[in-house]
Amino acid sequence: MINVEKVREILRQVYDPELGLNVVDLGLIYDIQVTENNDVYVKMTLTTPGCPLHGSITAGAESAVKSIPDVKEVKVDLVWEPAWNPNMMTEEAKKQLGR
Amino acid sequence: MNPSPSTMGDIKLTYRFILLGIFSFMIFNLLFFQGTYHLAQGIYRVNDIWVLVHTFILGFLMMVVMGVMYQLIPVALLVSIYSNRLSKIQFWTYAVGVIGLLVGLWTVNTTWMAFFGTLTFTGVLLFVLNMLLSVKKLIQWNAMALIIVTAIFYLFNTVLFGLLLVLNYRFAWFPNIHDQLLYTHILFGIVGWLSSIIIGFSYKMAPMFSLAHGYSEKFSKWIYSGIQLGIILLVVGIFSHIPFFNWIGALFIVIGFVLFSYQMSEIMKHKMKSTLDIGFQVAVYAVYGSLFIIGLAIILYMFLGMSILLPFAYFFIMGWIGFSILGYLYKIVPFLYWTDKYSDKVGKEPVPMLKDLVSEKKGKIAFSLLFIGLIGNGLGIGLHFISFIWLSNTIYTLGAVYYGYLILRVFKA
Repeated sequence: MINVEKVREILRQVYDPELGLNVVDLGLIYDIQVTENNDVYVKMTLTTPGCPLHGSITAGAESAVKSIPDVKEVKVDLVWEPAWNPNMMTEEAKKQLGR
Repeated sequence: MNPSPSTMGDIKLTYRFILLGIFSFMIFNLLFFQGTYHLAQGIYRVNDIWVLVHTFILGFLMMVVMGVMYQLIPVALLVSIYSNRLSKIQFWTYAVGVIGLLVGLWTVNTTWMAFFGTLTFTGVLLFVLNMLLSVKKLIQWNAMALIIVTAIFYLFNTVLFGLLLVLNYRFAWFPNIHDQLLYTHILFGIVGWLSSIIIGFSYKMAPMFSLAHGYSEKFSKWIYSGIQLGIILLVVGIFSHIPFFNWIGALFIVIGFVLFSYQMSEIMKHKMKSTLDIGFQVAVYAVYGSLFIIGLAIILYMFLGMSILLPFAYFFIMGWIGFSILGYLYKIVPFLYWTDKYSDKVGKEPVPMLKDLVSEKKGKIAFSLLFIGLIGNGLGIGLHFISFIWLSNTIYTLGAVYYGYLILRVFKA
């Protein structure tokens, strides 16, 4: 059974290699939707527009979700609105950055 | 409109630029020993000093900056590189031109200087062309884009004036303005091109490497205007021989640097990462260091006059510009290599983090040696103390070799 939590959990395996934090704790995942047909939609952002890791992080998110058994179509949308800000990080992530 | 990803430049070509740059840096350190006598005597209008300076600037700094710009321009300005094929032609033209020019300067062969100087100029021209055609597709102009494009304009003018110098040396076309051409060439190269390109890219890299958000960029136009106005007034001063223009021009450039240091401190105040990586730390300290160097130079000038010119030039080029580039390169090389090797493996298998590719601890040792060597060399030049320079440059060279080794190690990760 695929659900939003399962997708979120797998996305925790996708890391920003510069910060050493996963995309969920960084607050980069804005929305996750799972349809009855097991198609998955992820809306995400990055910490800064024009991030050089743009392609690898979004493609990594897509690959990670695709690795869930029974998932059919995966669509990852990269958006810049609302812009990411540090308050979107989890307390754990802030702690890891030394905040 | 949302910024979209862009086509990066040829990564293998960037590696070639960086490797040749690192190689030149090693050669530069050996040549420094050879130039010790003249440096200690305050003599810089001799061929071994020309070779030394150009090995560092054309062979190391320019090589690294051009190679990295093929990757950073798409990232920072969200445009694709106009032509990767042109980049390759540019690399070979420039590399052959610089090597030949250095041999020409070393042997004082004016024909070689003129021929390979022209080839170097052509290499830079192709780079400028490729960059401008890339930037032409820019959707949204901002402070960073304006500074970078202006820096590219000065790059063109720097090599143009450099070419005029070597042609003048060979054919004596403008014997009366040789010094003016030289000073303008130095001003354009050091302030207009290299300092500006570091300032420009810092707008992107500093917040990115420190994860800073919510800081003000209100002084960005003043930083830009101060430096531009300063350069123009200095050129007027150089050609008119009216000291007022030199003073006021220098003042505007100093204002630009003061405001840029303030800008960097603003970014640092808003950073989320409490501990910065060593490479980036070095680049940040280089910004504050530039202010210290300028401030100290102004004070010492009042007491010692023009005798401080050579140590000041050394600290400015090797300290501010050199350490900025060395610092950023220590961050950028792992970034590039990771993107090249691991980006398509994310989400499929465990991949290393960037900090796994390069040692922070060893980096601190390399940068410490370089810094001790830098201070020693500058003092040795200022105090005309040959054996001191020998000793400090040995330390600097050890740091440089270790630094080069650590950079090359990234490619083995």
